[in-house]
Amino acid sequence: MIAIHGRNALYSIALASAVVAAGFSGSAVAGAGGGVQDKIEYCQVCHGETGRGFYGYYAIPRLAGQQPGYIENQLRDYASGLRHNSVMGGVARGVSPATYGAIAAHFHAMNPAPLGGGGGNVALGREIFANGLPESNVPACSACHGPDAHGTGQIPRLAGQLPSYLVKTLSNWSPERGHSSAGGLSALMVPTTHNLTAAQIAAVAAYVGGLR
Amino acid sequence: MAGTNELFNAMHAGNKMPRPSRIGAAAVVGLAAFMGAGEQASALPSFARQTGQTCSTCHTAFPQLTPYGRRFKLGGYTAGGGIDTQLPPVSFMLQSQFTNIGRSLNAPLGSSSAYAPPQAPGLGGYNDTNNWTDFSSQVSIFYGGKIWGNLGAFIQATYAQDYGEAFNWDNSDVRYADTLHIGGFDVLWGLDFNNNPTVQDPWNTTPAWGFPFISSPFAPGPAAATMLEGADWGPGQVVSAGAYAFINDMLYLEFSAYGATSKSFQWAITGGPPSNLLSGVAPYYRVALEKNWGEHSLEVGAYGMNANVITGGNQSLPVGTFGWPTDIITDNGFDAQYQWITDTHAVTLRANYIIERQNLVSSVLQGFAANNVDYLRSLKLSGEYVYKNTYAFTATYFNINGTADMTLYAPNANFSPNSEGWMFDASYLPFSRGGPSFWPWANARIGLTYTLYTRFNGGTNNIDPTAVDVNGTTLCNGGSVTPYCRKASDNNTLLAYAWFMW
Amino acid sequence: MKHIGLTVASLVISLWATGPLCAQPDASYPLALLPLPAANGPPVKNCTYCHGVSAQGLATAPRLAGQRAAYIEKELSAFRGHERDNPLSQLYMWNVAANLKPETGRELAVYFSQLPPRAAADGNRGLFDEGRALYQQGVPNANIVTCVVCHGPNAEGVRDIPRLGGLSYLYLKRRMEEWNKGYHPTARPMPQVARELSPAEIDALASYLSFLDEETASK
Repeated sequence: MIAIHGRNALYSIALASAVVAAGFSGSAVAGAGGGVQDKIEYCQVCHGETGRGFYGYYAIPRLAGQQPGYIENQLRDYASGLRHNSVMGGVARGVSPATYGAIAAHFHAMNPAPLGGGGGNVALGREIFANGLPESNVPACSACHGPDAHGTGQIPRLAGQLPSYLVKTLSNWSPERGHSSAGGLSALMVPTTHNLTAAQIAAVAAYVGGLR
Repeated sequence: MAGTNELFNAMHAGNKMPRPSRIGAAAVVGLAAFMGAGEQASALPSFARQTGQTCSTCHTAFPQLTPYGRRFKLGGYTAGGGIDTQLPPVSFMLQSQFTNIGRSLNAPLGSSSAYAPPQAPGLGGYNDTNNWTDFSSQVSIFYGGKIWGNLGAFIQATYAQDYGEAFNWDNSDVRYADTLHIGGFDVLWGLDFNNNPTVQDPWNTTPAWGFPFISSPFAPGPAAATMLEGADWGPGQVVSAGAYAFINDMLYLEFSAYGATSKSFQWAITGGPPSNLLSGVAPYYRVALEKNWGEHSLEVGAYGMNANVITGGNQSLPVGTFGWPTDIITDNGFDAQYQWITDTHAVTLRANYIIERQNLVSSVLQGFAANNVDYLRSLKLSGEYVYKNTYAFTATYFNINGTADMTLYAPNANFSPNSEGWMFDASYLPFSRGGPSFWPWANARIGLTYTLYTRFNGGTNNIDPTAVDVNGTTLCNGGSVTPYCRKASDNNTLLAYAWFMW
Repeated sequence: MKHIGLTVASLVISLWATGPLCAQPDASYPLALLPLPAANGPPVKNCTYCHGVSAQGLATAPRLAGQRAAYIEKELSAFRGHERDNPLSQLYMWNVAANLKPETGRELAVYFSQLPPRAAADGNRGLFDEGRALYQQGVPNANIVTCVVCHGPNAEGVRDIPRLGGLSYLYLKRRMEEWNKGYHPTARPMPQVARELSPAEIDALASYLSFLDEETASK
């Protein structure tokens, strides 16, 4: 793994989370600690036993209910370096791609209550989520992520996500995932993230973070 | 009372007349003050109430201190943390004892120097010439804990129901302690006032709180002891004022000055006239380094005292009479202690060596000593293992040796002060981790101590070569076996004790 | 006389006025008297006779200086509720917590969190690099998670996640070992984290952390 330099690089570590997905192969990975169940428990150490995320020094995102296609995509991007995160890069490379699918399915099936904790303006967040900010050229989030923010396919679920994780993600989009991702959808977010103010990001994060 | 010393000051039972010399002082003081000595105190229930901690936080097996116990003491006995019981910081102690010595003290009455019963049987629990049962050999009341703010105290008063049957001012230590941060140094500093040299010391290597923690007032002990081991005076016959600093929880420095209390006061608290009297001010120093790493603690240190002593109990001689010399006694001690303490096991290894230079100018003039300068060395090595603060096992080797002096040690074999032996102790401490629910601060130590002499007062086979009966006939001639000829091992002592604190 | 009276009065007033500050030493701390357990301050002495005069840790008692206040408070609560059941916790801290009012615990926690910590630096220096790699990257193939994500880049902790940097090697090692013996199971996810660590890895982590302070961590 790459040595970590300073706070900014570490900050991106936080991104660490979103995990994975890919074809599940029943035989999984051979060897001690490499089995699907072992790897799921490995994920759960940080992301929580119910996958609801965890507030460490950095926010560790919620995986519960996440779209399997998105999880698998992100794991592939971490492993290949398309998405920069020194922690999750190593994690993704330590997991056999053959198990991505099973891991994604496991967390997708979970549905704990959101952790919450956002400090933004929820009413403003709801407005932006539903209708966007036409004057700033910000489209409605719900258009792609769905009215309930559950996402679909490779488009991630936002409902119940840790607000501080969302804030970090939206504030750090280009450095972290400026490259075109495996799914090719990552670049879509670039202009949007640039057009949101910090307060607006916090508002959206607080709103979707409270959705079930 | 000053526990350790007792053994070494215990009576020279055959003495009908106190001999006014350093050795006599030992015997006399022993009778007057130390004899009663059950011992020490601590693991004070009032400390447990105040801190909310069980005895095991500060003691491996009381009174042996842990690193935390040492800091509680140096911090002035003021740390709290317990519930406010509204009770005064008062505790009580009771010691019951049974003593058996290897061979009866059966010399005929009137014999000189040889071991004979000190009193007629029947007094103070005495019931045989080599067995002694005493259900309340020592009863103490303590004031122990915070007085106010940073001021705290440990004060013991003892009623000894043995030969002395007297109420004594026992070991006492009053402190004001605070902390200071200077540059990179954390300093725990304090002012200390006490009544017995080394009573203020937090390491159990030094005499006042050293091993043995409890000993029998009945069993004979070696006549020679160093000043710091209590040869010259007991608690309350001197008092001190001093200051100390403990820097970075590592370097301990202390300086105190001792002075004598008045003769009438000494008489009052010891039940008799002082045989040896401190003249002027006696400086006392202490330096120690303690390093703690995890479960391990290591201390090495030195301490000492220099005293001008008016010898021989000559009460008619005015203190400070112009031109009349005093003995000058200089003690230097070197000690080391290692501890390994886990939640289950506690090992403590203690080493202590005191070298004493006795300038006996005054004693020689009075005819109590033959040599102008004698040396006396006392070595004590002790190892203790405690399981779960409940079962304690201790083995101790002691060796006293010094210059032969045909006057000072006249009754001894070869006029030698040398004694050597071992002590083994096994004891059970049921309440170290919490007492009975109705009085959870109680503590108890029930044990057996066996003391074994390989040399006693200079001799091994005939330890009383000069003893004569009332007719002047030698009792033990040239080692030939007579009914009264004692060997060192005849003084081997088994002590069973039950020591309660509440 | 008048001047003396004024001087005494102003002294009394200034002492009185600075009283509450005693509980919260700040930048002026290094040359100041450590606060006394005064009526208006927390009973610091009750802690320092085991944790060290300036709470830098002593023997088996860990350093409290610079520890996260919320963490100290949380642990006091775990001692009170007996969830933290490590052998030494049972021996010492259960007694402490039993008689400690929560508000006093909070005051003490805040006080100690503001004392400047010093690194114990008692681990094996030869394991520094190995420990740092483990701390920052974990071992994905062995399912060992990174520490840095929760405990921070300088092991400084956050909120109720403890500062680990500069704690003593022996304390850190014992805590990790004791999770593997089943103690303090409620401190999730630490029991799960420690489960994957070999004795050698625990040794390396504890060594690395014992040397850590802001300088060494960021270099």
